[in-house]
Amino acid sequence: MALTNIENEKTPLLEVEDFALTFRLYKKGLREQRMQVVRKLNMTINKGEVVAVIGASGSGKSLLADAILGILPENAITEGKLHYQGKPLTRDRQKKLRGNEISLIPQSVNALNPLMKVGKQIQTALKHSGHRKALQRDILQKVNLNEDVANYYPFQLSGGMARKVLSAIALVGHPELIIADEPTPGLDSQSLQEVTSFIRSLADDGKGVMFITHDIDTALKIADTIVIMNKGETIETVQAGHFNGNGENLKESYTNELWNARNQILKSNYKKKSSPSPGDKSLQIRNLNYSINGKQILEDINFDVLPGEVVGLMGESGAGKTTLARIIAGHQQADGGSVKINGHEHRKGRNPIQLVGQHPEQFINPKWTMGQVLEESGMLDSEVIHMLGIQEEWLSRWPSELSGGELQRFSIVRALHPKTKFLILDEITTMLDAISTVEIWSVVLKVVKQRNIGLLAISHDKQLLNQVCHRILDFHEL
Amino acid sequence: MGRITWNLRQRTLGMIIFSLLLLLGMIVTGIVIGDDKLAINPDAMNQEPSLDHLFGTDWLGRDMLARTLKGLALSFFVGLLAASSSAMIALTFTLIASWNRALDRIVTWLIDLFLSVPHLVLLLLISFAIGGGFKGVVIGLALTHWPSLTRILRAEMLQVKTAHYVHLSKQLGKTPIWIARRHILPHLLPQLFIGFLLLFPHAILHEAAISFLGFGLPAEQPSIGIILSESMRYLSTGKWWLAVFPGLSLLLMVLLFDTLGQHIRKWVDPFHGQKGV
Repeated sequence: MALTNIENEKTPLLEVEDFALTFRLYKKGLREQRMQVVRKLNMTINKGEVVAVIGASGSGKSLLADAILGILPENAITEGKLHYQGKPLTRDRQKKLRGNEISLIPQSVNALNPLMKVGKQIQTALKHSGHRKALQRDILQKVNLNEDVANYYPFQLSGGMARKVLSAIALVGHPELIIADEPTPGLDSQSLQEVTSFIRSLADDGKGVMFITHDIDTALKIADTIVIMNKGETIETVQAGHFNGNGENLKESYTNELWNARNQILKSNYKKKSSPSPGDKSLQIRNLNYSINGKQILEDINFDVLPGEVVGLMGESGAGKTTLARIIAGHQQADGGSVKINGHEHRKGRNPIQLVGQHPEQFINPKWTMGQVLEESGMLDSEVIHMLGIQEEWLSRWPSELSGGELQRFSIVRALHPKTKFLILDEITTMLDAISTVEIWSVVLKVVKQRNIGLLAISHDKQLLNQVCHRILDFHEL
Repeated sequence: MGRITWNLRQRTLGMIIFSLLLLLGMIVTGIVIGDDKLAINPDAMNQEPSLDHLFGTDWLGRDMLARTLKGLALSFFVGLLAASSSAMIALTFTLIASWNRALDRIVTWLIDLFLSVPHLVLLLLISFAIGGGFKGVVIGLALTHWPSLTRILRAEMLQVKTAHYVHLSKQLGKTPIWIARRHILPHLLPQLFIGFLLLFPHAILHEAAISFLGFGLPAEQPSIGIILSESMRYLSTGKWWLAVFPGLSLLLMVLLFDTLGQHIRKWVDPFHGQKGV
């Protein structure tokens, strides 16, 4: 008995070796094509360890999680070694283990059933009966939520609370291996702190955690080991301690780049000093009001944006920033108030105010190829396409075949039509990794400056706004 | 092992060709068969299926195989015309409803109006008013089968209309017609196609029903509906072949049509074409 226990201690919880993933495709004619999206992937997770998987969007992080859980699309072919507790993960075994020993904290808060109370959703995750109420109470306490939350519906939860509920659902069955797929983007600093310390405490309890993220800073706070992925390959596996200074301890240049990208958004081509002079062509927002079901979301909002000015708008998650952005860009009607440029409201034709949203996939018709998307806005031969690093080959792809970062580049190109006078960017890089963030923002700022476009940047990330904006407005003081 | 393994794409195409050929075979033979084959033959009345008459003969000695094939062709055209015009009406109404709220109300009201009258009554009225026959039946079927499909399409349309990319398209200065054609239509096509497939057998069965009641096709035109309704009278005397073979053939045709539809969809739709082994 003792011997087997020791052996158990030694076998890693999860071993991935030379893992490769291929998609079967039919692009043209009858020929079957294979597209390899993941190759040479290696990682090990031991008990009591948090392993962070970091990579740009589209590097194959989420596919790895899906492969471990066995929920890949049907046309995926996997190769290589995938072992859980020393034994290979077969399809049957995955079916048995997922939701019990291996569980997922999903990326999207949309994973909650909108019509079911939180408590009920936690209980359905329990396989065996008995003591359901007690277990539910325990788990809510563990994730630092009030007991009353069990009686809430998902729409009554803030973003941070919803994340915690998702964790509670994933953990109520006492899994051994927890896969957290991007659990942090969009959270304000306090919620972030709570979620990360909670994940750390899981590992300290002896569980294995795979923490998928694009954000190095968050990963460093809790991870023991960090696996860097790029374009479907493991670049290197680094001890968390090696990330310090200017990255002298990092072997690979990609890792180094990723590490140093954090602090240098716009050193190259943007100077803050050239402050714009006030003119009458400014964007004027006056007395905006908006309420949903009697709840006042926006109350008497007033501010101006000058052409060529970069204005930041800050506020915590759930404050109504996105609603404001949608109203200014004309996507939604306000209850009262006006949005004017040069004293005129926009009535017909192309709106000179364009919006780029946080989730590009919502703003792109899934039934269109990317070429059609650019054609719609008449930007098919804009020079911005090349500036943003969009490849010719992407134009014939479907939105589902591109990553969030790649789609976001298309959204930005679409908004940067010559007739655009004002641009609203609503958390455009929140879901993206550091390198993409730097690339996208530097291009945006360059174009905005060239064309004297007024920019309203909405974010909860103070550091980012400090780097890019002439002035920052606090959402609550408007 | 020497066996040729086909990939998914090739198998899909294979199935399309296979079902298309069978379907065409059924219809072409139905058209080619002349009236002489349908003639009565008092020497061979009420024969059970044999090598001479594969589907047997009826009480007038007519060969049931020839009658079934002829009937299938007729039913096929009735079903095809009625279902496709119904689908077109449904699509047009949906796109009209996407224009603004007032038009949406009118379309909804029309749907409710048509659904509130029993299908068959309306069908009889229209078919009778137009003068019966092939034309009357097809127009009657087309005008009565669109409401339920329109409802489904309208629901989908409302969902697409509130999507972020449609709001964005409006701000890019696109007109409602442009949005309806380029954004909404592609999302409606799969539903439209499925709706059409479901309407097809439905229309054939309704055609049979009104023919049975005497308001549809004339009795000398051997549609499957008429064959089935006539055979009812002889079933109790043990002449099972009169109903079984024509019924099975109709089922087979609908199945083939369905297979064809599914595989064409697999072929055309980039999202579903990749799945399955």
